[in-house]
Amino acid sequence: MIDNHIIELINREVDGVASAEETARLRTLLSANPDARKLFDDMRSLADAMAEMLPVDPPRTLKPAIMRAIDSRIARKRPAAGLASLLHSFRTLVFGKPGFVFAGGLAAGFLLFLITSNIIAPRSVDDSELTGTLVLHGPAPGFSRGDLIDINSDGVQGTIETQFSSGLCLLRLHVDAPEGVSVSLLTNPASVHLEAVRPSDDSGAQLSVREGELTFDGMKTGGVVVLFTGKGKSLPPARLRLVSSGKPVFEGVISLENSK
Amino acid sequence: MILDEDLGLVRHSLAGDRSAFERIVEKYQKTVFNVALRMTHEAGDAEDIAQEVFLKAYERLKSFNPKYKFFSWLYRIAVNESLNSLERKKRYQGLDEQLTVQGPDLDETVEANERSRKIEDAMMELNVDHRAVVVLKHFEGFSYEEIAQILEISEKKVKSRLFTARQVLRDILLKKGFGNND
Repeated sequence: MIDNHIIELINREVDGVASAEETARLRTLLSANPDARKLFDDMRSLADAMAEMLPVDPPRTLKPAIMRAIDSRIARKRPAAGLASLLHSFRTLVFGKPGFVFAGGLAAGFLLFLITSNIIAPRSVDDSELTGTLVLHGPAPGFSRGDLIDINSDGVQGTIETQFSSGLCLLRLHVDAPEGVSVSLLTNPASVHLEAVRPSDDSGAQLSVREGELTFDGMKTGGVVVLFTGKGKSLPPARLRLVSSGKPVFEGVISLENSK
Repeated sequence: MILDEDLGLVRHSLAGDRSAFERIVEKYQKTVFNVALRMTHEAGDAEDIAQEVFLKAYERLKSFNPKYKFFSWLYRIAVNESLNSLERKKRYQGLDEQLTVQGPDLDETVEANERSRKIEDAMMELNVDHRAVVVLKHFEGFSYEEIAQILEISEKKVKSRLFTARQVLRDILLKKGFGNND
């Protein structure tokens, strides 16, 4: 017969929280109660066996997978979907009113600056439904048809991923370039709206924006997410160029077509 | 100080410093993975759970109250995610045999692995509430108070669950012959 008081003392002793007085009392009780002694020995043996079970190392892929998932969430929250409608409203406002076109151009440029500088609070967009097919035009060695393209040339490794939905294009670029790489995205400003740009914090790249050209200089390890829309129903081609130490390591003309 | 370091990492993460959160992942990935592994007994599930735990932690970082310990908060997410995963699966699978337990020498490792396997099998026969307290107490070394914080139950309930869990575990193991040869 083992009463609750002994059981509690046994557990406190096994957990290492019994006072000296409790330990002494337990010792006395155990010496007079073989069943309790057996329970105590079993509990101690179980606790010792569990203490010997070493933690298992997680797979090496775990941390990169977590960080990729987090980057994806960051990218999902950064793009400014709402800005598209803001830009649209603005274009509607100035359309047909030549007197406002110059001021409109200045304001649009300022707005683009704000977007690319992350000064405007990013609006959330859910890219979970973004899908798409990346179609290539012209010769582009190592550049295969698909949503995900690997870059591996002259010490520069990385991936290019595109997704789009409802006229919204998302381009994700990740590079690992110890010597640094310059990334340029060239678009036709007459037919493409650049809505948001988000370099990862560790990219180390310097962003510069000119009409129709977005450039990241000195990108080493990290990435960038670019969100843009076409002015018409179709999404015009964009040219992506990566240059390392003055040498082109990747160039491709990409058109993004809605697969739906 | 470990706790101060955690708080600093949380603050930097909230300020948009991705590398600070990466450090959090680095620091706690092993413990989170092991909590999930001990709870689910399945390596693939544990990996998925660990990923989800850090994603949730990242998304809820703003809601973290700095007056509490960060790791308690993270463990709570880990335990809850493990329970959710078990609830979803409602089935038992053996531990991935590819997983190895590091040990000092081969004979000891073989014996330890056999003991570990028996305990892991027995753990899966515990109900999930009992299993959670055993994992937090015996595999993660938390105090009653810390377990109470993580599981958001009273210390009294922690003790009661732990005592019951160990007795159930002992009975299961005795039936499996644990203690005779071990």
